[in-house]
Amino acid sequence: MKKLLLSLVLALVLVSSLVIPVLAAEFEEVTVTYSPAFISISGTTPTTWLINSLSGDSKVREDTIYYTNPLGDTTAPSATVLIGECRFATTNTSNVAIDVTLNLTDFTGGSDPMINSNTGLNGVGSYGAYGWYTGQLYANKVILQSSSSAVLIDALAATTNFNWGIELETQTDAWVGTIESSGTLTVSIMED
Amino acid sequence: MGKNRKTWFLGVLIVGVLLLTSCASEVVEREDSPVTIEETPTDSSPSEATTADLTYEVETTEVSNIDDIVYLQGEDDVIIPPSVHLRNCAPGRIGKWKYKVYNGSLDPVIYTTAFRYPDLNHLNASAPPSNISDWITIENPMVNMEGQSEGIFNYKIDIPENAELPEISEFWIVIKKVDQKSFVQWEVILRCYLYRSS
Repeated sequence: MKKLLLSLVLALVLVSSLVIPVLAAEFEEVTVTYSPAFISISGTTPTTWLINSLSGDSKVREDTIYYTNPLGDTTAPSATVLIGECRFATTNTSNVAIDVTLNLTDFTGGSDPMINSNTGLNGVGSYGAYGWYTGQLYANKVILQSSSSAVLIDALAATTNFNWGIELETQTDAWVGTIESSGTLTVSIMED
Repeated sequence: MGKNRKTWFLGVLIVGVLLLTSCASEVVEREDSPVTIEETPTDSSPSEATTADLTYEVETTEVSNIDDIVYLQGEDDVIIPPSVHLRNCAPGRIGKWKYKVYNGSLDPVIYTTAFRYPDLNHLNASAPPSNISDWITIENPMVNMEGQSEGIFNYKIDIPENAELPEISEFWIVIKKVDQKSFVQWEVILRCYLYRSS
């Protein structure tokens, strides 16, 4: 009788060992794999821009286009954008091709909030903005929206740095006060 | 044949029957189960693509362990990996994945992460279900890291029983530093591909 019981226990152990993997599989239903790559950014320099302060008097006038162009605050880039016309430089050591997108928020916090029109055109109380980068045809500049902008640089090769800039056309109506507003420009990096 | 031998024979017989029964039931269960656990991912690109240019190249060298991805621990910030593939997705199923962040600066930093509904989708991936953010749990949305050290973000997707999934869809996870005060800030968007179980 003891041997019978022993055999039954043995049978139960064996059956359990076969059933447990099946049960375990139910908890691993979604299979996860990773692309064997990485995105690596050492940042952008500089990270600041005071409108009309590169060569201008730092006073921001209405209905005027300002560029982040070291050659001049109101100087447009060349037909093909040159590196010397780009204020910002981003170091990219990713080992995959990447897409780069720029989004520019509304300017708030001051006496004259200025809203991103998301069309590239300025208007009453709203500004228009574009982004461009070295080697790009300036005519192909990309509208900067407050979110969901189109990709500025598509499929930038791995371990390739990029230089870029933006332009902003201020609102058409006159300023009400003198307290400055501020916005944020976000550089989004993702795998191509 | 003695009583003891009879008992022993009976025991062995029972074990044999039980073994055969359990093996058979396991085979039947696996054949019926829609779940397949694959060591090497297979190309699950849709064969019914209606447009010729809708080609989707699935990387054949995906890894199942994030620690197998090699990078240089220097002064650059690194986010690993740029995309994650969630396969065998179906209502009622659960998946877990993670991202690794390396803080290349010498100073401590706080990284944060969030779900983001995609602005646009890669190649032939569709937009995900509109309520997909409700399915995703970020276990640790902020990671405090010392200088030149690694941190891990953990995520879980719990697909509801009534979910309707496109064949391949894509959603995004964003990772960025918390303490960015300047005009120019940066973020990394990570692609998550969700493949419906066939």
